[in-house]
Amino acid sequence: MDYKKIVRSVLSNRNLSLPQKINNIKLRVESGDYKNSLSHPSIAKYLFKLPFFKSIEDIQIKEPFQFTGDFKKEFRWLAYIVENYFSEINSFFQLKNEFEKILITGDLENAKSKILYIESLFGVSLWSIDCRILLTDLYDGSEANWNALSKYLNIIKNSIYEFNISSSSKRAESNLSYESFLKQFQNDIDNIQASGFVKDYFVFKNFSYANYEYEFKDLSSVLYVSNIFSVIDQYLILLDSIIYNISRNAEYDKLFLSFIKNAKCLVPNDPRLTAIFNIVNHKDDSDNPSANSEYITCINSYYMGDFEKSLETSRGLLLSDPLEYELYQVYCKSLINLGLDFIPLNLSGLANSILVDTFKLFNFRKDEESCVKRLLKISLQLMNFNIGKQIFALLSEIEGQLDWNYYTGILSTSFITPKNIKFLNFHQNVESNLLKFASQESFKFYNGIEFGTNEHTDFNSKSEIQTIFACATQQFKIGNFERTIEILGRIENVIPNYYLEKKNSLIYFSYLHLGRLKEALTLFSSIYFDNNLIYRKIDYLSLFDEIKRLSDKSDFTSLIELSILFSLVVKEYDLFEVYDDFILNFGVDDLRDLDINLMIEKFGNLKTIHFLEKVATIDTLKYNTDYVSISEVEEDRIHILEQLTVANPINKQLYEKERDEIYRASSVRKVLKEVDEGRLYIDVNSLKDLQINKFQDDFKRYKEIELSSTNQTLIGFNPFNTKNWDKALVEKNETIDLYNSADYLAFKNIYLESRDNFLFSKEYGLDSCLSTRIRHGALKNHIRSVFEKLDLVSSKSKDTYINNPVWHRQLSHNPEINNLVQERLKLFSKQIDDYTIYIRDSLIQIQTEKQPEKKEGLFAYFTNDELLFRFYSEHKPFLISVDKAIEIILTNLVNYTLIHLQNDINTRFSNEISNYFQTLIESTITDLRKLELPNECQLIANLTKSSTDINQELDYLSEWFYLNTTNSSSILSIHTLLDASFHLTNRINPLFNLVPNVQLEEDFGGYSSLIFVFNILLNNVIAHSNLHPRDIVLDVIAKKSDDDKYMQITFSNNVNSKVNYALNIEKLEKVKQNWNNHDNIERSNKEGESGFDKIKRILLYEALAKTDLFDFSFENGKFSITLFFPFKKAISDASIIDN
Amino acid sequence: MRRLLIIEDDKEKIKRLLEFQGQHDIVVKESFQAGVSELKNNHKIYDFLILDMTIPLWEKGNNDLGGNYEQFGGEKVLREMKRRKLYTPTILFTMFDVFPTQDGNITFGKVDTLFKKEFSDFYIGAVLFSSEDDSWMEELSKLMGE
Repeated sequence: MDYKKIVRSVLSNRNLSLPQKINNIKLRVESGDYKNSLSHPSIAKYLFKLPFFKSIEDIQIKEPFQFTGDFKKEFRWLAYIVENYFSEINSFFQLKNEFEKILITGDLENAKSKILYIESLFGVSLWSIDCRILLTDLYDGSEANWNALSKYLNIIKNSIYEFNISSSSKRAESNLSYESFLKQFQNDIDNIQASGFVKDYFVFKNFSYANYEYEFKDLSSVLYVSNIFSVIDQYLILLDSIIYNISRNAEYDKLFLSFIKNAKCLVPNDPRLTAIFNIVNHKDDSDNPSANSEYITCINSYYMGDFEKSLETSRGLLLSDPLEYELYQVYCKSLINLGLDFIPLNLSGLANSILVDTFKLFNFRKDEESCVKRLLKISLQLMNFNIGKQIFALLSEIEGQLDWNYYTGILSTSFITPKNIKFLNFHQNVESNLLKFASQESFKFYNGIEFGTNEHTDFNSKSEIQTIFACATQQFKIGNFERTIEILGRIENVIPNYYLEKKNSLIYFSYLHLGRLKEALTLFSSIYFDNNLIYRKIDYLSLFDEIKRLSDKSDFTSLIELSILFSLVVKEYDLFEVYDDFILNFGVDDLRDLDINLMIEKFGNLKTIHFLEKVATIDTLKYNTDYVSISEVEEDRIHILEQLTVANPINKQLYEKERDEIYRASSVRKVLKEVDEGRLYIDVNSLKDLQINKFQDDFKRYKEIELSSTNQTLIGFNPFNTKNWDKALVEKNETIDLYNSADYLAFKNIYLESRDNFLFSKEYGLDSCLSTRIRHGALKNHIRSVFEKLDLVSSKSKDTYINNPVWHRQLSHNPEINNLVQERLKLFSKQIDDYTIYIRDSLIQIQTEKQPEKKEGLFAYFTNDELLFRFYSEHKPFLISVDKAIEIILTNLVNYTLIHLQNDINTRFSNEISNYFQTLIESTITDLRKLELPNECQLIANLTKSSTDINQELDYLSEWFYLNTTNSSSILSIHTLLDASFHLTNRINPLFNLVPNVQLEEDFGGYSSLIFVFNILLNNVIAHSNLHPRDIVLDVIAKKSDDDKYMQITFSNNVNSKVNYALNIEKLEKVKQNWNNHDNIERSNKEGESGFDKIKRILLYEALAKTDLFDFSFENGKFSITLFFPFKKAISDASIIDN
Repeated sequence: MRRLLIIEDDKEKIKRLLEFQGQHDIVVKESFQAGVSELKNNHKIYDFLILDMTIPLWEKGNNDLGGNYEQFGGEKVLREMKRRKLYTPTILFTMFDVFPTQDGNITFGKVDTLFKKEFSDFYIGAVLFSSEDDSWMEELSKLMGE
């Protein structure tokens, strides 16, 4: 439809407000007709009513109207607004250029005045805020920067501005490196969960160097968002978007042309417009080189090999115009070509730092690698300055990344540089614009490299080396790689690093192109181990990919370099394959036979050391099937480390550290194995001693009754009979008299009491072990951890299962399926938890005839007269002393536990319990399959995996029920005990990876049972801190008490400040008061009771380390629990056994 | 009677395989290490290898603290067989119809296709195990030419 008709119908619609009318025009009219359509006075008045914001307080969000997603529309809409202010923008640019110049040369006072002046004329903009924050950081430091940020955020209450200003502050922060900014920016972007056009805008405006795939590839999104800002920001964003597009392709050249042509006339102070015009203009009326004469002269002399002249002219130009980065480069490269050291210029501030670091950059020295970090940081601080973009472009070039950032740098100059010729690669229709420069030597030089084919006639430099490299690069570009290698092969390596880096890089990539992979690998290796030079372009991933793709690598097996290359990219089995091929080829079957001197002789020191350090590691060696356990792998690794210590003593400390780590991991593994195998532990010897004493009188009585019974039949009251009372009334049992015989009953008394002691004694009983080592957290957490690791169970909030965040996020685009999945997973979580609690509370219990409520307990020590009398009859002849009687009873109980019960429990775990879990998993999978989840959703795969994992876990758990009757008497160092505790706690709480800060002021030893004490404390931290795992800060400090009486260990952690901990404090106060009251210690066998009773019991009876002191504190939002152990001086260091 | 080597750690799958293939002479190894070791020493005596994808690295009790689980342990066994030319006809036996990887899911069918290409000298196909559906038996028999 004709735009006039649309405009007329929109404007005459009385139901629409003015903004709605404008919006209608934006959406319905073709973008080419915007200018005419928007010329109505009322529309113009609305669109142009607030170009600038006078002060921070005046900042507001201008109407952006509706997003069209159409680049042409968004571009023309914004261009229409901006064009109206070209005159003001031109004045702004004059001041902006002055500001940049004084800022970069360190005249910060003047820069401050200048920015205030700019704001007084053109208001506050994102640009001016960015500059002010940068100035503040450079002038007053980062603290002042943070204060300034805070001030802005207090006044400007808009999240888009807030994000922008906060990013400006971080970019400016002098001590925040480029890498740190990158990470923080990534986190910020992820956390705000912006999507679509807003996310595009945030990335482009705040970190334009980002290698980011914009949702709207041409940045229509960015243009749209910029409608809300002041005209200054709108223009700057518009220009940056144009440059971005031109740097990628020629698609919108025609669209940009009229705007750029107009801007070039009316905003001559924006130095970029001429260069942009020459790229987009296809009408052969581009600018000519005369405007660049001084600059071109300087560049020409450099490419003609007249380095003295280029040095002199660049020096003069730099001092008058320190904003042009290409001059810095010519100055530094001229120095290098003249073989001169750095000659400082009378530059100050950032300009001087940039010059010094650029010189270092071109020298490619490994020991001056940090110059790259500094230049990256400066390019980030100056991201909105042309020079910042140019610096980033050079860094991209040095890295071999000729992407849009590189091209953006070329366009961010005040001159037409010969590098513009590169644009002809994708803007062919503007060739004639650049032909005007064709007679200039520097342009001829670049043209020769980019588009020339004749190495003999294309270059006209006096410098032989410059000509050789130009020829080699030209031949490389046209794909004549053999010739490139030939040309460069003629040059000796005694050349400046600047050229040596180029030489080896070009040869390396030529080898890659030609498929000469062995030569590429050898060259890569010499480059990698070069101590002098840093090679930034060398991309070893391509070489790795090429070699990996080969189906037959037999040509490479003799090369140590292959393992070295692979070690930089892969590990574990992928590295093992090449390692094993090499080591076998080298004739080594057993690493113990490896002759390191022979290796050094054959491959050199550096390669051998790298191989042994980084290739022959535990993670690689463990795939060798000659080993039967990880311990054997560790032994060989330690052997290698010993050899390395001799061959490379400079790294002795590193090797010793790794060796100690291996020893420590090995100790922790042994301790954990001991812990798992010794979970069920009854100190039978102590129990025997206790019972021998206790049953002296009872046994004496038994013996007397037995003696009397030989003369007459004595009977007694058998309490077991009460159970069959009803039966007894109607039936006559012939054997009942035997069960009532007095000697049997006397023995029975001893047996039952002895058994109950074995089971329930607070010091040595089985139930205490079950409670503190299995039921208390461990079993439940182990089972739950299987499903937690796979994100299959949800957490609870006040008894209600919450949504599972992983799948909730993954299925967010499909709310209906998401809800159904969440409901099913909540049910699954409940089923898993309920059944686990059933295992703990009903199955892992002791069953005797006295505990009818534990009738499902797997530890069935139920007996009756039939069984017991048979046992009595069999053993009666051997009941000759109390010692013997007790030994017989306890041995029977131990054997019963070891043989019958363990077998029964294993069977239950591998059959009934396993089957139940399998049924839960399978029914969940069946239900979820009906929902037809998206292909990329891994939920069902994870459920399938849980099926194998839970079986493995049950298998592992069933081994806990092996009864130990001798305890490990090893004293372990506190370090090992803590490490083992952390490992154990993290293993069963996969969502909480506690990384405590450990301070051991004094090493001391303890029994392995202390691990259970520490686990209770660590589980308390997880359960009661009420914090997200990443926010938990846990300190563990072990030291000697001030009076030298105790070794004390303190667990100290922060807690959620919003939670009231009064009840916890009250409980801890009671624990402290009752610390020395052991009356209720049997409570430790009951679940749900305080973990501190369990701690007391373990310290008292197992760790033998309880003292009369216990302390806690709650200060500054941190809970601290301190345990005090008795301090006994070690007889010798060997008393602490770790390995 | 044929000789089968099974590299598998899942008790249920082992039980079902033993029930189904009980007429054959069967050796079971439960880890990458034990499995590859057996292949290195005796691969010629086996008519078939039935191989699980997710297996432990070490036999029980010999592992490291970091865990013992190799998500693509079966593929590593195949790579060792190829590298060492231990060409025993091999059938992948798994209960996963998709395998989660860092780069997204890879389906059972895709894995089978990839393995057929990569290990064409000895890999003969894959069978999807299910405890509820016995069709895997038919597929296994078919691949074994029974």
